[in-house]
Amino acid sequence: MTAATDLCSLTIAESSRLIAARNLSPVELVAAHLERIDETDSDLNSFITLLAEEAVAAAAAAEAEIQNGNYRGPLHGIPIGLKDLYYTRGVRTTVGSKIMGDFVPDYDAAVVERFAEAGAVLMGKLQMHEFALGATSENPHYGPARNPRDTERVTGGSSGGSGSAVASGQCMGALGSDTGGSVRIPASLCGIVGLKPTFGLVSRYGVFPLSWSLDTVGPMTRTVEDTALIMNVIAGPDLRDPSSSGRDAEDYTAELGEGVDGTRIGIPREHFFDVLDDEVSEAVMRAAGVMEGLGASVEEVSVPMLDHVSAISGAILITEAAEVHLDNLRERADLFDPEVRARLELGALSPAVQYIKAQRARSAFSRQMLRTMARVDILLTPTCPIVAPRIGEQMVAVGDRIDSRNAVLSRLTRPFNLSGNPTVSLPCGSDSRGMPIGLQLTGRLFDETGLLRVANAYEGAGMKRAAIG
Amino acid sequence: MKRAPMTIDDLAALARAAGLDLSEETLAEILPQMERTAEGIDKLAGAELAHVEPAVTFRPGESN
Repeated sequence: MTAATDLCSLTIAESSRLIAARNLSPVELVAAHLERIDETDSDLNSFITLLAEEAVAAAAAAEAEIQNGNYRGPLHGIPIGLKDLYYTRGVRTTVGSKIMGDFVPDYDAAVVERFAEAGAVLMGKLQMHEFALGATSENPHYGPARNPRDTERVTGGSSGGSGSAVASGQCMGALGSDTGGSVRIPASLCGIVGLKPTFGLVSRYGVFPLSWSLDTVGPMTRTVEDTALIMNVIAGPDLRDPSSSGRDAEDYTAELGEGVDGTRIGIPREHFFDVLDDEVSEAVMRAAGVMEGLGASVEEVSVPMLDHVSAISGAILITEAAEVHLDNLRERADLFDPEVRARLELGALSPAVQYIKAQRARSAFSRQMLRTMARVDILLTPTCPIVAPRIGEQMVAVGDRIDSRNAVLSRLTRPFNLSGNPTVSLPCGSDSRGMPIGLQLTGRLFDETGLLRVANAYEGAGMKRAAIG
Repeated sequence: MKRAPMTIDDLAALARAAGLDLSEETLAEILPQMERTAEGIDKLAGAELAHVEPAVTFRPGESN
């Protein structure tokens, strides 16, 4: 292991303590990550746009500030990446598409502003499924993002470059976006931590939309603590985002050491364990056992409408997405990835009454979730029914069923985009081939602090942090 | 009255209304997916949705 690799294996929390004490130079840290990118990105293809010169300059500026006693906080001098749908002033933002291949925004997304204020160093813009409409990040325009654990396998998506960049040590943290699981799926498949916050907690101003009523912004990191540190910077109200809840940010690290003694954990009877790989099921039930060993109680709960969530979520997502892209479908349809185009065309032909019924069903499902979450503090489920499929594999087998990989990969993540609850995926083991398995924990609305407390307790007891891939 | 299954002709009319130029082959690919989604939504029992408004609200005075 080289010294550069050693630096890339540090967490944000570890690095920030060293930087604050002036025992680690942001210039050295960023140089190590650029070296790592240089060594690995021809295999992984995490980046659409690498900002090497800009990152070196930002690191030098951070170092000068810190030397002058102006330390801004735990993200100061930390190398981070952004899924390529966050608007970055003066920097190409492709949204993973050919259609927007030359688009250069003239303003920054709200979260980009917040990263800049925190002194984080932007390394570049990361790979994604075209227009975020897919769960694999196989991108015909920029090539597939490749899983650091096995480069013949997908990263998951749509935030696949964020998953591979963080899992491989190219960046210490990244932002993805999550409409049906696009943060949690690559987190699960790449073996890292990914949080979908409560709908409305993090501003979406300057984020290219997929589905307005479902989109969320979420951090992807190698540890739960690092996710909390990023949330401390990006959460909070923003008048420019109509969906902003207006809720102030909390200190999401506040309860990290408090454990799970007395925490009530529910395992849903419906949906989550119906179609599932055996090794995934075993790993998740082992995780439930670990939670019990730590002092939590585990019980079965029922949310009957879970059996309908795929239909509800699908009807809402594709219809809203089709409206976003209708002009392009009419005028330059041949520039879309054919798979993405087919999904958008399906949405464009969907009847309005179907969309409204789906939104009514969403309300009903959300009520059921509220009742369930009054009884338990946390829901515990698998993140994905399977580990990462091979690149190019269109259909995947799960138990005795064969289905499209997009449908399978997002089957267990979609419910919580509908209900809005904060949900985190974190590693809970690997299958016999060494591919990561994700545990999904869901908290009460706006209780990210409690959710991350539980996730951190499991991370500390259940799993050692994976080495960078 | 129960919903009649969709046909290629139904989809062709919807495509024209949406301003999309879709081939018969494309419409044939979309048809089973359309049916699957519609069936999924049809399965939502009326009782579950009684007195439930859609999760989309208008707040007067907010331009959004």
